[in-house]
Amino acid sequence: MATKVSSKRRLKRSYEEELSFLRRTAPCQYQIDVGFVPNMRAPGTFFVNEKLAPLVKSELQRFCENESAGGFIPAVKQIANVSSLPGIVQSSIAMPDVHSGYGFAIGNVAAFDMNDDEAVVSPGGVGFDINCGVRLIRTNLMEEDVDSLKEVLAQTLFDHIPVGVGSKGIIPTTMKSLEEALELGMDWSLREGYAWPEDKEHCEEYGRMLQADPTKVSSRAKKRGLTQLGTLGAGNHYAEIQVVDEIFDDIAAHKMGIGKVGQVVIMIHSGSRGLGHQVATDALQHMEKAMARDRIKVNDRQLACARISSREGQDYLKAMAAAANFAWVNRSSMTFLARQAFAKVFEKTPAELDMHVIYDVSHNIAKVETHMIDGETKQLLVHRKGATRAFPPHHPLIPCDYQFTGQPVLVGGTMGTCSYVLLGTERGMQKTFGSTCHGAGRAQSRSACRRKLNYEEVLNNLKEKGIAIRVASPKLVTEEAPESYKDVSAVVDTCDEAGISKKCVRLRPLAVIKG
Amino acid sequence: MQKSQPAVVIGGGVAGTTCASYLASLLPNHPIILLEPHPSLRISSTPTEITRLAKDVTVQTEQTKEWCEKYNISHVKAHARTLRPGKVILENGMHQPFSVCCVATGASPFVPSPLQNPAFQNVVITLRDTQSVQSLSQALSGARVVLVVGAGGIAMELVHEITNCRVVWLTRSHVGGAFFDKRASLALATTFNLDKLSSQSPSDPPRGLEVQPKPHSAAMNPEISFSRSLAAAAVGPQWLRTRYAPVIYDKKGGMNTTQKSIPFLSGGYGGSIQALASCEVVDLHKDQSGRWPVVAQLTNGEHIGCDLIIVATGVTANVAWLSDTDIQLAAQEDGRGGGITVKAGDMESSIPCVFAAGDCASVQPADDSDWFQLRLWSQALTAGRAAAQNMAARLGVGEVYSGLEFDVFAHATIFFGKRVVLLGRYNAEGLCDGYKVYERDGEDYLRVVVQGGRVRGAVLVDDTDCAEVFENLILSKLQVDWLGERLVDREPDLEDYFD
Repeated sequence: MATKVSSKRRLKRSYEEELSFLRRTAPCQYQIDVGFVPNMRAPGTFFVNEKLAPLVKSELQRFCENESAGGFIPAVKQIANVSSLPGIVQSSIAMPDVHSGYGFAIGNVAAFDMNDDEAVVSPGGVGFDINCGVRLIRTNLMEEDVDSLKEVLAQTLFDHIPVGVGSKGIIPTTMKSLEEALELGMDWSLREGYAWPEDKEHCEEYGRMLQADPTKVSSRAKKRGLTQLGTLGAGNHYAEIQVVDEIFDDIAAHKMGIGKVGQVVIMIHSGSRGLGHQVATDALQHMEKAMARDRIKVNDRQLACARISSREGQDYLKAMAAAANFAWVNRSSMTFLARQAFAKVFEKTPAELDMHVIYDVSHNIAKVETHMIDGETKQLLVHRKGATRAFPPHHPLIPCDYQFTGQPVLVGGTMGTCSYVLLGTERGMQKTFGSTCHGAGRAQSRSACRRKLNYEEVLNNLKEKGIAIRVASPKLVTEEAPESYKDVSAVVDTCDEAGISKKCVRLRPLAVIKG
Repeated sequence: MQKSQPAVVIGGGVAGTTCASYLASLLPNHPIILLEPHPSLRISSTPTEITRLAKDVTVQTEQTKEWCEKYNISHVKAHARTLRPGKVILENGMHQPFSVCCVATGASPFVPSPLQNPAFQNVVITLRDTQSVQSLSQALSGARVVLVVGAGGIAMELVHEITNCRVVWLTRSHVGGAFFDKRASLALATTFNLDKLSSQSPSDPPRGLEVQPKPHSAAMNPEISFSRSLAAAAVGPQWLRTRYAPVIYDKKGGMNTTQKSIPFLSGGYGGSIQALASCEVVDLHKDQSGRWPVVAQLTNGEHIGCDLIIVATGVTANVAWLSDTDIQLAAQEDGRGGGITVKAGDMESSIPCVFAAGDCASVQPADDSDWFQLRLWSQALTAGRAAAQNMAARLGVGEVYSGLEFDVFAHATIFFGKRVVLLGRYNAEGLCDGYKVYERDGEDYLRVVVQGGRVRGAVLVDDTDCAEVFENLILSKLQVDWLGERLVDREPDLEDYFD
């Protein structure tokens, strides 16, 4: 390889030259060698099967062949750029659903050593929609109980999940109650009567990050959150009525209260919305200044970061925790509304319908965790952006119900595609800091696919699958159509094959409510 | 100020009723008075969110008396004549004292002077609110040629929806002038298929159409029965439904598919609309041949015979009644606009304890905000709430208004059957220099205004799902200069990128 100095003088590498840095090291696993981008402190790793690998590579190829540099950086380059951050441990890792995002790729997992004074925290490694996540709620209803009521149920759910209800309903409008929610997370929901005590058990961090400090959240961020509590959000967020399609692991499914194929469940995918966006943006600004002060150099300005121990780093982690609490309160509020909607349609109480939370995962968050690194116990700050925590059986941080089976991982599909419940594995703990995929990931932009797909066809396609749609300008149906996403099954199969999580249950959508 | 005196709201429009009902919830034990001479009110329904700030509002009519009883508000059926410190003087000479007062007297349609000719008042109608939309359906029945004057939002929505008759649409400057600058207007002409409009001369009546006894006179007769069935030419059902019926939208503006969706792009014009830009009416004449109830003479020299002239050329704030007070008023432009000067957020006029909201107010935005006033229902709603919160705070109840509604202009509407979202300074309003405008042409027109590396405004047509991303970028003030023109690219997906 060329020396550092000469490589700087070199012109842009060709696609073939770039490819020589990517090596398949195991089935479904690729390594990005040091040298792929400048200043790498560790290699990069990404998990893709033969179906998904071309998608990652073609993005790189387009980048290489496009002379007009600037703009978006391909995901593989972003994974490698993260390897250049101070304090990175082992490898910058990407999940099969990886695609490019702000600074860090969506699907990137990166851990930083808490005992390294130089180690950093980066808002780009968490994402703008802080604690965006998925929650799964079970029922004791079967598909045949719901079939004739599908339309009514979808409509009722739509009516119940707030679409800008303002001061009415359960949304607190006062600054005081918002600050309490930021501090207390699901304890606030519990206190106000929107959550069941056992909901907390089945939630990462018990639905509350203790280091949350509302005073570290700017008043602008709070103002943005003021009217958004209990709202679904837009874009790729949704609430979906699903039915169990296949069970891969009977015992684990049974632990979750999933008894047989045909059982009805509800999935909620949402986050912290404008509040999180503002927290992230505020932190990016503060950190740019801190970087100049602490002389931290990064490959990409979007990787703005600060030492974990610095004031900026600590302030961000406290504000991020508050935003995470906000997201949990948000999902809890929608759980409450979904329970009410079901109770109304079936004229039974939510308890009679056994509407318990199976689990609640976060896929945009940074957490301090203990991991074994080369036989040594280490405290790490694990950034997961578009990646889900997947802890193995017997891990102390997972609820007692799942101690013998491993943590449930909820992977949301997209309209018309299946969703999955996976289980954390010991292998994942070793290879990916206990992380796995979070969703399907886009194969092509929505606008691009919109022009290719015919709206009527997509609608009919969904109808054939028996899905009641409750969204939907014609446009929206098309753009969120399954064809526009990477095949979620390919993503989940890769994780299963690589052993970083294993399949437990497949879910099929019945009705979708989109924000 | 005597805190024990009632809180008075003058005017029962969208802003007034929002203010009064919100006051009632904030001050359950304080007397609240609504001054409204009409027996019916225009109430806004619960708004549905398109994005965090863009709301879809439907407006309906309700009886004043019943509405006031519902909210425990006292209704005083009277006009206000003027204001004095701590009291309103009514038309009947009575004095109504107040602790705090909100002026929400609205605005009146502006009618250009050539169209004010009293001889043709039965064929000239102004369009402003729900009541006139209903009467419009009737007025249109049987019409052969309709002249639409003005480029405001309601005209933009209307022109597309009139079916089965020929429409000639006059705009003073360019098409869509009330909303868009000339550049956007040109691009939107393609987006909305305006370039496919008929170029046939409108002065020839359609062939084969027998001249009917003039139905317009009957239509304008106030005694006409509302049950009369709509004949050939009418406001299209889609327009009425999407604007005024409770349609369920998701937050991205999508419609529930179980309702029959109308194909967005399938014609709809039938060659029956002619748009004439930079054109105004000079005078109105009688038709010597007797074929037309009125002939309009235009600035381009053409004469157009028509059955009906619909005027939608802007509004003038109803503040003339305050001329004997020293309240600060904004200057009118060309007979339009004006209003009581208030600051965005606190809504207080130059007279302490007198607030103003809605179309009668001229709201001054904060310096660094990306908000500006456009006389829309959605803004009247926000202003009504803001005024109520500030009034309650003045009486010592609740916190001072602290939302972000006046930080970003946000308006969601339907033009020519397409969903349109306008955000921030989408026409680069008030941005002196150093800004860039990126556009994406085509069916899903997108424009993004960037200044100093951050997004200041955006126009989204059809592809409105990215609205929340742009709103977030505007509010967050995130640096995006590195993106440049790729901001309007279709790939990669911005919404994902900023997730």
